[in-house]
Amino acid sequence: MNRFSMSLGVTLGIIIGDLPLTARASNGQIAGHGSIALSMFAVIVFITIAVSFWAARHVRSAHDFYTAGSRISGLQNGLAISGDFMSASTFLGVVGLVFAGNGEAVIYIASPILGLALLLLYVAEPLRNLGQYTVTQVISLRFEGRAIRVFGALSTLTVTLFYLIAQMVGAAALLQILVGIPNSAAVVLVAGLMMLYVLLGGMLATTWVQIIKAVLLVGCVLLLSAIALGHVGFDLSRLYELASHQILATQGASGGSSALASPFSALSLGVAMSFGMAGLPHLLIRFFTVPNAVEARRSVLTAAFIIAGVFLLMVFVLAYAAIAFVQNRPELLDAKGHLQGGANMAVIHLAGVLGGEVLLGVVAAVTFATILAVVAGLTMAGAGALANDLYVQVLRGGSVGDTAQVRSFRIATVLVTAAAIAFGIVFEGQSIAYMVSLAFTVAASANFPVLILAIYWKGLTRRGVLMGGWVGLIGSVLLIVAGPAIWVGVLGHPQPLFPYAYPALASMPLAFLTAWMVSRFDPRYADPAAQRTFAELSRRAQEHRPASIPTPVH
Amino acid sequence: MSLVNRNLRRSLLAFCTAVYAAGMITIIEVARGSPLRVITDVKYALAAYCCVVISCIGSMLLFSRRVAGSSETIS
Repeated sequence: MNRFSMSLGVTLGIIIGDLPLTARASNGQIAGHGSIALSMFAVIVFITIAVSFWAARHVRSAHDFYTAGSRISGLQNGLAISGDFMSASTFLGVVGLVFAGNGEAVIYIASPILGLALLLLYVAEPLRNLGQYTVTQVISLRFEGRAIRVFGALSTLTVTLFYLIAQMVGAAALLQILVGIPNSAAVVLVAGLMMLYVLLGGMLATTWVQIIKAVLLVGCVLLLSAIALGHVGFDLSRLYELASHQILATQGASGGSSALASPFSALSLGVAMSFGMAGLPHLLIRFFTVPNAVEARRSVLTAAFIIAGVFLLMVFVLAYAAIAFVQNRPELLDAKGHLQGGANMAVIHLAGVLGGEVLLGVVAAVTFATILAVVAGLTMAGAGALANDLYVQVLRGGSVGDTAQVRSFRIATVLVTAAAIAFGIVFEGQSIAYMVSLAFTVAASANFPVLILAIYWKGLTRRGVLMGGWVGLIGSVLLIVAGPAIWVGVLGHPQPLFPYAYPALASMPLAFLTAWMVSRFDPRYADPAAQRTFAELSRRAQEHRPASIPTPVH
Repeated sequence: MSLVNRNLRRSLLAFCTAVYAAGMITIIEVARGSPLRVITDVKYALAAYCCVVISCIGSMLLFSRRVAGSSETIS
């Protein structure tokens, strides 16, 4: 594998990407610590299953099932959003990136903060006031028709499935590395648990699993940071000095080169991470769980503080502590002189070095909880799109009762889980990192433009939203396939058709431009009836009102 | 909202945007550098990250207080 591929793999491993590669490289080498980790895993599983049974007793309607009855407070939802966003690989991958000498880590942690600002200022309130169960419903309030529902559902499913598959494969790899269980068993275990949470307690169980995970993760990061800083007398400069000595000893003064040498790639990565975050369906549906717009906004602010703080400690304390205390330790290196488990395992090793096997077990268990929380949220989003948008609205024309809606959601959950298991096994050790980049790029290129234009641009027409959405969806996928990561790295062609690994800077503006041009030249542009619909929805989007089920204005 | 308040908010938004842009430019520059710069430029990256966070959360606090159609504010 050339340096570019390796760097890209580690870079995308921030989400979960290159875990399979590390798993293959060192399967079982950390598994010696399995007994403590396994007991911690058991505790996490017991607590989360107990929460699901508790939630199941409180779910009485489709509204409860899809949105936890819109009774989640802003603070709770903020914790759940941060739990939903900070995946296991954020925890492992961000530290791993810096450990491997990749400065992109700072783009990864800084860009989502802009995404959160966009969510708060432009998306949270209208989404909360207009939506009921899925993001597609918000667009469908303005533009009727099955084509919109089909596009919205497929776009949501594309993003969710790619993200879910990557999480599943990564989770299996993590379990393989930490406790030594085979890949397929690990996939089935994680998928079975996620299905149990969602089937039993729907959004309420998912929310509480995410809250528990967020609290554990924050506690874990604070504890590790305090111990690491304690070793250098709480002097950050001393920590950086130690890290500097280690990296100079490893890499020498030349230091190699970056995978993000092109400004286009760097900007494009930032665009995908910022705008993609504001288009991720599993984050957007969280706004339906709060009682009103004020709580929706409060939840984003809470999430922003938590995510910004945790990322700060992860990159600027834990990653450098890992370099200072883990790098070049002979007992942690494999036969080839690399860190056991690869760079993504740096924070796990750091826990072992700083706090022995008990702390290592705790950190491993928190990482496992992180995986469970994220896959549960993704399953909610995917099953919601499949059940509500495709089955209830497209196939049954919306004429489905409350009980049948919940039943269809449960069937959709089983289907999503089956797909996650199948893909998780099939894609073992494959280039799943590209699926994650696909998820963020598609979210930024298809979901975000369509949602923003539908809420804010009165000139948008039905044809414009469909063309813009499809161009964003298909264009982003094609540009990723034609880029160096897949066209050269996977398909083996000598030159890429599209020269950049991150295409969001091209595909997102393309989607906006297409939607604008098609709408502008559409005969129904400035149609009075459409303008009245837009005005009514705009009024409703800004209205401060309690939770209720919105009705179409047509 | 008075004109003074509106102008003040616009100025603050412009300031936040400038701080954000400066932070992101620095971050991208560090990210594009060699792995060695991950160490040597860590304090610049830390400062830039703080700029980004403060500008984004500042904008969120500045502009999220008003709830249209009501006088309710986020405390």
